[in-house]
Amino acid sequence: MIPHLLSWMTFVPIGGALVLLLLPRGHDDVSRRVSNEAVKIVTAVVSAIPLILSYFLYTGFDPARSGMQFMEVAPWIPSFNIYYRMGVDGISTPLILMTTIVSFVAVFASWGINKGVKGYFCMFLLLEGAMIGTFCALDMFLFYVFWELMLFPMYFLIGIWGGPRKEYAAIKFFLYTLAGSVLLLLGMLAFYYYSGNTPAERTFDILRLQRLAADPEGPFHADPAFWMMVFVGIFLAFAVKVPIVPLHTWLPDAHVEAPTAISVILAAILLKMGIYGMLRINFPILPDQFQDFRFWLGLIGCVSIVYGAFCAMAQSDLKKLVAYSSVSHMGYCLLGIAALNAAGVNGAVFQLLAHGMGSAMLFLLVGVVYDRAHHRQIDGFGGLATRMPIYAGYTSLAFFTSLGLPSLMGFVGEALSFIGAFQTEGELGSPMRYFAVFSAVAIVITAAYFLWTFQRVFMGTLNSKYEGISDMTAREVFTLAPLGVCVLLFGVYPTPLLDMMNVSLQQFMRMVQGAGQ
Amino acid sequence: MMDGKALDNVASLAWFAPELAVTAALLLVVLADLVPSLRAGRAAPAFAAIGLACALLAVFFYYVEFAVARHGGGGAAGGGLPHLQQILSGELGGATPPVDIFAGAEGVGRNRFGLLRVDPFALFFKMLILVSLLLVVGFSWHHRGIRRYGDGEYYALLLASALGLLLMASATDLLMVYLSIEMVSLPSYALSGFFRRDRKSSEAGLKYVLYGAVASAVMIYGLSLLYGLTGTLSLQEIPSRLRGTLSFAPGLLGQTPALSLATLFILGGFAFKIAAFPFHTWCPDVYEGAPTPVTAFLSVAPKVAGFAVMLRFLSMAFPDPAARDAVNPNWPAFLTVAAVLTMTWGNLAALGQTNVKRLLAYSAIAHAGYLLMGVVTVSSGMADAPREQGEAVIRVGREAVLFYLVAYAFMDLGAFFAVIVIADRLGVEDLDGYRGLGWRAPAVAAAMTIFLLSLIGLPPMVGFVGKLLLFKAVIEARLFWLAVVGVLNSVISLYYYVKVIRAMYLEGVPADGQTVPALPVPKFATFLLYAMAVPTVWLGVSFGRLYELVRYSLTGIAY
Repeated sequence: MIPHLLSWMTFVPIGGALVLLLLPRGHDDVSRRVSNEAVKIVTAVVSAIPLILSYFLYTGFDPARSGMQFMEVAPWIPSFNIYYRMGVDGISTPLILMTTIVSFVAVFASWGINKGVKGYFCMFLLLEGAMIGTFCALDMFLFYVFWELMLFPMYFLIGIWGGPRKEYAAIKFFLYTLAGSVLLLLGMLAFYYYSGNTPAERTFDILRLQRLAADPEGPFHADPAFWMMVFVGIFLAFAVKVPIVPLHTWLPDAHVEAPTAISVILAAILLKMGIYGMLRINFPILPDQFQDFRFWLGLIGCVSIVYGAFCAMAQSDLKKLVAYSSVSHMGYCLLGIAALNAAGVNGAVFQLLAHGMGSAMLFLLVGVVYDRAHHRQIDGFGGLATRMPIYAGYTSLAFFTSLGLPSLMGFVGEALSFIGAFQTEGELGSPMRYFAVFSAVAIVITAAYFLWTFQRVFMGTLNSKYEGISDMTAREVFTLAPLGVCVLLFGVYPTPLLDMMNVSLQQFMRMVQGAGQ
Repeated sequence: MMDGKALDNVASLAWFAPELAVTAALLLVVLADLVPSLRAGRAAPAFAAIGLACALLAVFFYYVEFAVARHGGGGAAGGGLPHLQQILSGELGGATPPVDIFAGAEGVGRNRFGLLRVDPFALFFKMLILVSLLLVVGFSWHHRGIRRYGDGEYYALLLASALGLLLMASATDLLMVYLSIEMVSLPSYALSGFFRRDRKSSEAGLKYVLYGAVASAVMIYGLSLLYGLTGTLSLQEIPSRLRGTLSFAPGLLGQTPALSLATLFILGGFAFKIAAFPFHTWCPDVYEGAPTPVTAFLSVAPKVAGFAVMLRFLSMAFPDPAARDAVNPNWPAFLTVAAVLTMTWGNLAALGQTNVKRLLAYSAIAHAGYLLMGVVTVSSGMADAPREQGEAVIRVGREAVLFYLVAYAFMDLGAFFAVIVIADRLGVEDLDGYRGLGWRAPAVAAAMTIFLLSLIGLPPMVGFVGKLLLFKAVIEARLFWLAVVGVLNSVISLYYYVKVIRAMYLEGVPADGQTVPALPVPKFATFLLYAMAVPTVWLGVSFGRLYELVRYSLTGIAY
């Protein structure tokens, strides 16, 4: 086992970003082209390192053990009991694996970037490091630093290399997310203050805060009304990232304007941060409030699923369609967590992975056709299957997993979430069943819009404008194939992933039982 | 609080070296201006820099004296450098008694308390003031306008102001408080109007004078009321006099209307110095019109000293802020209102600005509001808590203020210096002129981005830690609503700071294959920029030692 594995995975990309800055810039056309290629190759190599290391993470991770693994603890700011604490469990490990795969793929999806190359890949690597760090951090302070560190690279990536309305989209993303995160900051400070009577006892340690929550006499049970406020504040911080309806409006803008690779990262990984934060911080530290909030969580999930699906159906822009389908798909996660039984919670986390893979494929595929046709209007194509058979094949795979076709990854997540929602016990059982039934309507709508889109783009007579359109290049196949393999493999045989997360999720369910049960 | 023995005038000089050094430099600058060869050789900035550096060294030795030598058991002044390591590693001593100086000559006009106090608190502020002044001298060195209008006068005024700032940090006597503030204000008026033939600069000078005169009048009215109520000018004596002589019936303005009024007026004077509501209105016009190095100076040094004198005044005159005493004015309420209005007004007004200097002026107002949050970490809710707990919470607030001032000094001076460099190279201060700067002058734009992100309060910059400490203090004082107001303000501020970043990076992006002419930036300017940018990031990642320093600096204060 490699010592400090998680730190290496986090800081190799961040260090790589600094190395990129030091690469010389070309002064004439030839040397500039050479320098740009060099930057891309260095980035590919740097982002391959976490990918390789994640193999060791996968093999070294013991799914049967509950609690954190690969722990690293070092004092950072002793005056405030701030520690550098890293560690992973069954919830974060699969997410980290997905992050390294998707980031590596995204480097190749960015190969076509040719303005401000150094800046782009520098920001990209910074973002990758911050994302891995967020999934590893076990100290609230560290978590927050990584969480915020994702913001400004994203701002630049959308704002500089984005589409026509990039400035609007970038600042909207920044404002929405920052508005959320400052609430998280306040919540974090409230936890810190109430975690001990003297400064020496106070802590940002997430695990210790979770243990304090488990103690019925603990500080987080004293003033329910106050903690409900804190709970809602932190929930909003994470909900902006999920995003839930009605806080989702930044997402379609950001997705539409972002360059392809950044849309991929945004959909596949950044959206997962919201649910991850809830599972790691929001719900386990304030279990009583979570129990009171479950109804609303289910309702929000149901509304997001249905509303997102209807919105997706109404879109004429391919990227917007995928963006709204993300809103809809992330709703399943909330529904599954609200159910709070084995099927529901497993389904929710599996759905994170399924959506990560599925949406990454979708955005890559939209990028492929956009690079050729320079537009994304669904109605502007027609009959592309005859000219782009490989592309049509990959698209159908991505569409089918997104609409939840059995034997693909999307089905497992959605089905488990639904089963969980139906099986909800206690007084919440009846409303949850209603939510599940309503959400089931969305499955039909989802199938409808994906199939209708497929029909409009690929079937029918070939649009004469695209007579000479070429099929996917080897580079494009190379970016999509790993994701496609994952979608198929874990769709047919989800057990390895489910096994990996099962123990941790059981622990999560014990933690959020609350004082009432 | 420990009372030290007040030294007589002659003995006091041993603790007065920084002020003497600045005075000497001031005289040298004035004299050098009379000698043509020295004037041509640019002796003025050199003398100013040397004088300030000597003062800084002296302050540092005093600090070491307090932190290490005296704690170790006596020892003469100046046992400094061997203990440097100890200071840097954060092993600071316990509380040591302050030194009160200038208590009159033996026999003549001798009072028990000095006019000035030398303690870690004062020295901390003096260090910060001197460092920012040195940076301001660095900014002014190559400034064309200042050279054209005359070096000698500029640096003489700057040093005179510096002297006042140093006195402000130490003042423990009402008269001294007033005089030192005036000592800062008068040269500042001249400095803002320094470009005599520039209409905007002259306008700035005049506006500053008018507002300053009003604020000063209000303040001295408050001071005279307080003097009338207590019969003493010494801050140390005020609490006992108040307790001994006053017994009022509860009234509209708290239990002691006259005292409340006096406090309100005095706070008004401080508010003028830190550009807080309701005496903030001069700020945008003066900042925009004044020469930019002067703006940088005004936005940091008087604000730092203003907080020093305000914190000292509050802690010495009203040592029990939880209002358990019947004779306590409700100053936390006044300042809370001021904090909320200051930051909200500053941030909202900044949203529409297109001149970067003016934008930073409004942002400076907003930051005064954030800082005030740290001063008011006393709420009515704390009145029931044990006294120790109440004091601990106030102390946490004060720590946050001191820390934030350091953070603010670096990031705000940095941002203004970036504006100076850009104005010097391109001749623009408008957002439009900043278009595409990220591609033309990457080093300057990157530094500016660091400063702006820090001003927003994003990790891993020092501005984030500063805000974290402020919000932490506010939450510990259970002023949750104030914390919410504060963070919402941070979100608002994001928009206008990002406007600058947007202009630099998102607009004017060179098209594929197109090259943009690089903007040559002097090495000295780049060096100075990164001399501020590197601490801005480094202190955000590793702030433990700075925090220990801040904490030690507050040990001499009542709470």
